[in-house]
Amino acid sequence: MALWHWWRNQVQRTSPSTNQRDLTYPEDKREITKEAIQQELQDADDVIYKEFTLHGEPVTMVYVKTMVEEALLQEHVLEPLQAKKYDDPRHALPLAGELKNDELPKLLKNLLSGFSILMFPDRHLIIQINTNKIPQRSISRTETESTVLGPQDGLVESLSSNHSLIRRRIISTHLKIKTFLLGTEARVSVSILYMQNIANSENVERLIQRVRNVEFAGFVSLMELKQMIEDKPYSPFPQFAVTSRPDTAVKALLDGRVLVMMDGSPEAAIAPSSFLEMFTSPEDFYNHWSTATLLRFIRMMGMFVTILLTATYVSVLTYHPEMLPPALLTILSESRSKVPFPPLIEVLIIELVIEILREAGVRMPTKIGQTIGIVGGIVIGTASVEAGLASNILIVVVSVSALLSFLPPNFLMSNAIRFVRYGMILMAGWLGIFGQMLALAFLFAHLLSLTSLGTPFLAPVILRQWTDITDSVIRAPINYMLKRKGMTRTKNPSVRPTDEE
Amino acid sequence: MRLVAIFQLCLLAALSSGCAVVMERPALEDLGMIGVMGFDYLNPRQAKIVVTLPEPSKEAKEKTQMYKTIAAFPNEALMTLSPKSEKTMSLAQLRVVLFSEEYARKVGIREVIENLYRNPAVGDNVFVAIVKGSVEGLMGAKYENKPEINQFLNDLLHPRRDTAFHSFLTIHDTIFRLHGETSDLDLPYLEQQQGDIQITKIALFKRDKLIGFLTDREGKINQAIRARLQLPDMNFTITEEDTGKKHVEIVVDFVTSDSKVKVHGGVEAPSFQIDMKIYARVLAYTGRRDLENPDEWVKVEKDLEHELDRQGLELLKKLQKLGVEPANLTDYVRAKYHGEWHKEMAEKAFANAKFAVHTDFVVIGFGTLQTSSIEPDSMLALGRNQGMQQALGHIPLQTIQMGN
Amino acid sequence: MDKGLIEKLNTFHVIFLVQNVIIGMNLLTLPHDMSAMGYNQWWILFIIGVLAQLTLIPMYLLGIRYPNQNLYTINEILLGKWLGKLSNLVLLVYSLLTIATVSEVYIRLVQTVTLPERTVRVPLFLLVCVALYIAHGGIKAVARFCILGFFATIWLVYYLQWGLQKGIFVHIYPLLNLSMFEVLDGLREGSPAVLGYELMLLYFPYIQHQKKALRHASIGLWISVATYVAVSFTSVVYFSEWQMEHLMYPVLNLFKAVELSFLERIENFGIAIWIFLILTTISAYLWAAKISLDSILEKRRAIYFVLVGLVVSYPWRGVISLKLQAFLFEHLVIYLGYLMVLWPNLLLVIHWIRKRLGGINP
Repeated sequence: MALWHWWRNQVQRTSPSTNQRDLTYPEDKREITKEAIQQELQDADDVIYKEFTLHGEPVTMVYVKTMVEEALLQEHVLEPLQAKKYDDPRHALPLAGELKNDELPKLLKNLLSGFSILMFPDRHLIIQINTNKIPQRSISRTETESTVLGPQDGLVESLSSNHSLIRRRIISTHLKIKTFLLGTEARVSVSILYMQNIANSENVERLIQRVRNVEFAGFVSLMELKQMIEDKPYSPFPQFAVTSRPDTAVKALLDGRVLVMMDGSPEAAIAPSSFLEMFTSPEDFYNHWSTATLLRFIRMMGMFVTILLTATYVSVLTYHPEMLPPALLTILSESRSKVPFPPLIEVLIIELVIEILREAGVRMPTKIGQTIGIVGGIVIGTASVEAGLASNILIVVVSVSALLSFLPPNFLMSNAIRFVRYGMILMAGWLGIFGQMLALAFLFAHLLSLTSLGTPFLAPVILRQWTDITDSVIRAPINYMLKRKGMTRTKNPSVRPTDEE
Repeated sequence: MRLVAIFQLCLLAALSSGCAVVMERPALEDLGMIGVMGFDYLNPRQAKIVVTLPEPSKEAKEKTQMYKTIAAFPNEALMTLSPKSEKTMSLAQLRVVLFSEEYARKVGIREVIENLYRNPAVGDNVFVAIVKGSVEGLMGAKYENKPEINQFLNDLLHPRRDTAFHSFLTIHDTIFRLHGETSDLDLPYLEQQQGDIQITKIALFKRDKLIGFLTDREGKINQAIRARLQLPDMNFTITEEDTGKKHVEIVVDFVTSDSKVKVHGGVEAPSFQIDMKIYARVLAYTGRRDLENPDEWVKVEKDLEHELDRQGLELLKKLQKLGVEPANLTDYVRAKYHGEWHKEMAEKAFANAKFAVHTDFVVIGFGTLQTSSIEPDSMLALGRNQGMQQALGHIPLQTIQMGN
Repeated sequence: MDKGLIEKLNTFHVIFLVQNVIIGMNLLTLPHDMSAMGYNQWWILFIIGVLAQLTLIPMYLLGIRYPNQNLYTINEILLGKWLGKLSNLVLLVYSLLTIATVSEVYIRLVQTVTLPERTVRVPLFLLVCVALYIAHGGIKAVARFCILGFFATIWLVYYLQWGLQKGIFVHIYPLLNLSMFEVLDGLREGSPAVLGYELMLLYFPYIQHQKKALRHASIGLWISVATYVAVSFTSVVYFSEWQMEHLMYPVLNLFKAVELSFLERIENFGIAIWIFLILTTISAYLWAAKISLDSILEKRRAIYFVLVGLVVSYPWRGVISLKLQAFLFEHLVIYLGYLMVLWPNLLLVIHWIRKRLGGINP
């Protein structure tokens, strides 16, 4: 019972809470004075306070040295102010914004993100001006979702660059970008993007609601936030698609989905998304429909094969040797005759070896990683067969299923599949092919129960509307795609006019 | 929320308890997969049972292990065999069941087959065959130029067009016919001849006991009557009365065959009208007819039809004499009979039956047979003719030629 | 939003709910159950289909008169609180017995065919766990699983062709070679196979297009009947009468006939994938039992699922005698099934009488 209570508390504690609060500036409003700022920013040595006079008027300037380009400050702030006499400093600095007297939290936030603050105590005027300069990566091609054809730029860590990458592709007044500050400590900007005329407003509302409800110290990556706003956080399957390609993001926007982006994360989460979309690549649309359909079939079949193949090896060898035709029986029993482990253990060992190789390869620098792959693949595989630790058929089976598990373009999905495979292998070792099918049924039941932003996750498998079939396992010729996906419940279902007007 | 937690706990419990149980189960390499099981006559109650299993180990000198025991039933045999082998004996991969002629004559195959059929480990696609002499002798002998014997026997008895003169009966079919309402068994008969195993004859059964044989030629005609679509090649020796040549050899390659059976009369004395429709190519022909000439062509067909009619009728008479009917004709009588049906009625009906066999033989081509003897022009014509035939499907040749 | 909708079952959900709940364990044994009919069994299934269709109509008529009530609440409205609760209890017992029968028989088969060295306890427990998981998602989850189950298993029909190839088609003659009494006997033996559509009245309030529910349910019913006929027909041509009489699971042997070049003995696989059909049946009845508990105890609680699951998966064998088990699983459950199929007729009559007398407002 104690265990039960502990478990239930854990479950409840990690569930998203439902109480609402405005989280942009939760602190109390206070009056802005130099002392107040100094008090707040005690022991922050990179904050610079400068007192000087401009045209006989005392001015206090505050900025954070590490976030501000000082040459920029000189050129764009001080020089215009000093150049000639003015009535109002705001005339000399048209881009500057005014802060109200009690907006200390806002001031502090902006100061820390690279604004310079000018205080004119005689005029009771506080202005802020953006002078920030953050070191940032230039736009480059994405590593995880590379394609041969099509646009090659990828999202970067800067939110504003990402917005511009998307704005560049959708020049429309309907593209809305809503930004929130999230994290009780880190105050990172999170933005929600959608097409107002296409996206279902309920979906937008719901996503905004979820994002605002998140309470957390701070996020380093969008991936963390995504896990907190997904429908079923316990599921091993990702319920929102994630892309690091602006073209995929734009495609999703135009289909009526809602995007979530975060400053500091080169990704965008797409909601709602479906199971099948985890198996599609933007390249499917750059290829001709026939090739794309073939590839999609291979990816889908690959998923089933990869979760069932090694498990079937275990169950057939352990429980159902009668299922082997004579030719296979001879080969298999010959190669198995020296192996000292039962099939389950044998499979687990080899699968784990592959997993370890993959993990080691990922953490290593690229060149060493390649070496490890080759050494692992060839040396360990061959040697273990020769030593009689594994049968050579198994090496083939495991490598095929390992390769297949990397087919889904979505990295999270490919990880989830690999996780599911272990469950399948254990069930196969436990209850044979019955266990396998039981696990498969459970898997399907689970997938069926999943939702992505309230729409069924398996939507295109079980069609929401007939037109969905044009972009499912089949990728129909582009001319046939007349409607947006059923699962987005869009305001505007037609992609293009279909009548001959 | 509570339920989620419960499921997670259950799943964890289930997964964590999963590994412990599995280890002790014998896996593939620990199982002795019996491939062939043979029964020799010992006394009315017991049989000498021989089993062979393939030996997968590369170090082993012999590719096949063979064990013998004395038992009444397959299950009992497994029990007494297990102490002799280092492996756990299993019937899961059983492919062939053999009976010696003596066993099949004296004991009958029913009990063994039923016993195997009842065993869920045994598949349904296990072939049954009868062996001349003893099974032990056949299986113990060395066959230098053959693959491993389990595989060889399985391949030999597998349905192939070349050996389609018997019915390829599996355990299921054997049970089907043993307990069926009409048809009797025809099983292949294996003989060992100078380091070879071959199917020489067809063993005929009355109920479950062997009582006679058919030659492979009769077997083919039996299959034609049973409406098997694919028949093996067949040769005929006919006399061409108008050209005066005797012993004309014709080898025929059947393309498709079909037969329709009509029954007249009641259960007591039915008369069967069997219409066979055969499309075939002539592969070899030693007669004097000019095959280019459509009229002559038709005459060849007529000759073949007569020959097949005669042989069919002869076969049926022979079967009637033996009192067995592998041709499954009385099923058509049953299909017209309302009320309870028994095997005895089928036997009685067959004993009193009258037969009429009519063959419609369509030669759809002569292959490349005549290339040496005919002119290039007419060869072209023939080729065109054949092409047209194929395009038109199976329209009998006569109609086309009359159109010409 | 999809959640929280009352009317959540669309056309396909209704069709496949009816279709897949019907097909369960009975298909495996159907040719054996009806072996007394010999080679004439396949067309009797058509008659059974027609009978089921006829009993579907009163259900629809009752449902359409009470569009927001399920059978349990209708019972309480029409029969009064206590009588209604009593009849709901009977329905609860029926659901439980059905689940117990189906899961038990299936697991026994699995154990005999694929796991001969195991006890049935663990597989049974896991099966019920998965069924509970599905049923916990509500009737819509069950319906969605039914659609999936249909597509996961329908291709097994392809494997009938091995049986058809070897089969002897003369077996179907003589047609109508049965006396009236034998036909009735066949109906008795075959009818339990189509039970399952009677649950329609329980999920009727959730159906989106209630007016068309009869048509959709009929489509589902006839898909099932067509499957039954296909399997039964293949059995008739492939087996002899003796075999149908003596084989417990003729469909198993139809699978055994299949020989693929890379896989043999697919009956192992066939029986294992049958779990989709079993799960749909069990989970639908689990859901039925759960809402029945809800209505009897007048509280909605998820824990009832666990209760029901425990009752069902508890090993019955040790507690009650074999004789009682046989009575419960082989006879009582079927009679209750017939009762449940005919129940709407009674309710309709009461509805009509009470309407005449006045004083009823659904």
